[in-house]
Amino acid sequence: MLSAVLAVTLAATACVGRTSSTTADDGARIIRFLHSQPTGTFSAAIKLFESQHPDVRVEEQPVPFDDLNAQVQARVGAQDPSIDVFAADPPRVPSQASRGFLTDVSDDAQAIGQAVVKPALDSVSWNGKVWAYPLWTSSSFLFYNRDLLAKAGVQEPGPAAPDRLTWEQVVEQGRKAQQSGARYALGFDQVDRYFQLQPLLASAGAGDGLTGAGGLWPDVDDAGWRRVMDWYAGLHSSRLAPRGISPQQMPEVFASGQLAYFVGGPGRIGQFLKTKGLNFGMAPHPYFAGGKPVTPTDSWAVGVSRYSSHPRDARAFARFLSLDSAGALATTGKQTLPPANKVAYDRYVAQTVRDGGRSVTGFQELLTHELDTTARHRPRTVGYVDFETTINKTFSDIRNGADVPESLRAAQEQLGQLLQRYRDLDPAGHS
Amino acid sequence: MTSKTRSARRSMWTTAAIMLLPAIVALALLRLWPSISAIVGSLQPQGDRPVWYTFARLFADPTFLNSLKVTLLFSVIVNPLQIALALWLAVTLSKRVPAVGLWRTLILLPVAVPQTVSAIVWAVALRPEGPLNAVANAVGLPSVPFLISPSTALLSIVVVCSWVGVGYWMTFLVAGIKDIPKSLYEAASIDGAGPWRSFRYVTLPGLRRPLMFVLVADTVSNFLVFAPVQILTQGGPQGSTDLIMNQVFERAYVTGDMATASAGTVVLIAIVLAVVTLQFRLLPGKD
Repeated sequence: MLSAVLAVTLAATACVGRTSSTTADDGARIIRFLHSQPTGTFSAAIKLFESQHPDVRVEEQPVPFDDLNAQVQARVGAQDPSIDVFAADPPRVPSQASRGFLTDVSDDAQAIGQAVVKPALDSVSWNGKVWAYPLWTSSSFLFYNRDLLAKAGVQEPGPAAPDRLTWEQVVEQGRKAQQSGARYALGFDQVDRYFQLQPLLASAGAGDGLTGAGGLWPDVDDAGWRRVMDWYAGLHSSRLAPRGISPQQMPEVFASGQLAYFVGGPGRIGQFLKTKGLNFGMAPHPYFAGGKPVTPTDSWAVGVSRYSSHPRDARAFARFLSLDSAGALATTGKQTLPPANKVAYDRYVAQTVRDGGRSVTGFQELLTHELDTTARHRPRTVGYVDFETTINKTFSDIRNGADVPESLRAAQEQLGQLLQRYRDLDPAGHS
Repeated sequence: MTSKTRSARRSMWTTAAIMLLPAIVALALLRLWPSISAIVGSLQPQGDRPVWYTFARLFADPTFLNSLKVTLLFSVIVNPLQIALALWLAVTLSKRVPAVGLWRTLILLPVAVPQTVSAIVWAVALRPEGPLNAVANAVGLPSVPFLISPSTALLSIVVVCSWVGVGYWMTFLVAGIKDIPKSLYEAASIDGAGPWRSFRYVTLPGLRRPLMFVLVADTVSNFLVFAPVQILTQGGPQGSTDLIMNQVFERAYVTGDMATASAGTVVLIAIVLAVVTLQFRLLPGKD
């Protein structure tokens, strides 16, 4: 009887310890891809890859955007071999590489350099090595609702770089639109996120928020940051922009005709084109009067887990999405972000211009101009995750009415403590 | 002792062992193992620093100290509120109320809704310009900044948690009231006791055991609240809803600081054990 008890215990433990299979019933090797894109984003690319690699099957594991980092941290951090490939946000690459999550792919540096646009290669490099394959690049534009502007008698902004409006003009015209029936003047796609607000800070002459050796010293409590944050606070306290709505819900606010202006990335073009009754146009990302034009850049890259059970297949798949122009282009059907792959980029732009018609007038020239001249990377440091998490919460507090100087002072103090951990590990700041 | 008795006794112990085994395995894997793992993780050497370095770092961090304060404040508000409401509903719905089954079902229904789903629904309902404020404005009341003001966000989380919790804990108390012999109420009534005295001298003493269970289990579950905070506020605004579970999660899975996440877990376990021990000491549990 005791042996039966022991057997039951062992069976129970075995069930707990078992991981998901990495081989299909027909013998094909299964690789799993963890990402945060909408279902179907990679379907065409996976189908194409599997047709070229019949002995490999790719299983997607999509998770919500806000959960991706936690999933990578929990699963790859626990050396889970069932995650082979995962989407990596470029500024998080140093942190993920330093924790041993990513495979060093430096032997592909030359191939990546030849295949993708230059800023994309830089975005996945850290400490002299390359850690991921760039998938997409990004930028930001000023979308506007033609009907709401026309109703207010506001002239539509031009589509070329020299037509760029200042934030002051956008607010003024947005206010007019609001007085003429628009629910809000302006909204941000990635509201309260550093990706969206870094260009505003840089445009006003403020720093990136991190400085010193290894980018491990906070610098968010100065006159430049206070000025931009005062503007951001005022925009929301005056109800020109909405409070209490999460970034996930913001595109829908524009799509449903509630916003006169919407600051967002090229990934929204497809969604807005499909929205019936939405009559929109695109203009250059604004800048502060007296400042310089700055736009955000870098989108997702694809990293190969150090603990992949099929590292060769995983790497082949990551290469396919990034270096193979057909593979790269196949990732842009549903998610209309520009591929980092040069050949696919040209085809993507041509396709977007063809599909978008009047809504995307001048898109090709403007996107290329922004990527070449106004794009600014986010800081590359092992402390970026701590920085972004803290500062995004500060942005959110400020949007919802917190005192600006007090919030920035608190963020500066908290970041000083959080980043101390990395400074302790690497006092010389080589990270 | 005959060999027959001995064999019967052995068989009884074996049966008991088999019956208890799933619970013991689950307890070991889901409770003891994570606790031990947290203690070990919190004491991992950090270079040449002393073994308590992680705890020193944690207690020097104003964010963590704030989360301790918020967690204790939350517990002081949410536990008495939920238990009082659950008790009031249980007593009310144990009386002859029309359509009592329907009311009980409606009150229990939120338990069946997954926490994440209910949090998303609340996120929309509690928007500054959402349906709840629309109703408030329609009857002439001002808008309430439910989740965006530090003065109201924690109370909003209390409401969201209680929406689920009150119905759940009520069921235990309803069952407890059903176990109280009717003759006691009849005797009290003959002695001239009104509703309050019946409640004070018959219902409450009769409910001592289920109330003790509800008090301890509710306290523990409210120390472990996570999903509503993660979905609705992520600890904000200005750290006003940063419960300790959210802190532990962010340290472990957002910033990857497993050492202080483990130390935070150990602190949480210590607080829960201390509070539950105090509850057992202060409240009589035996008949």
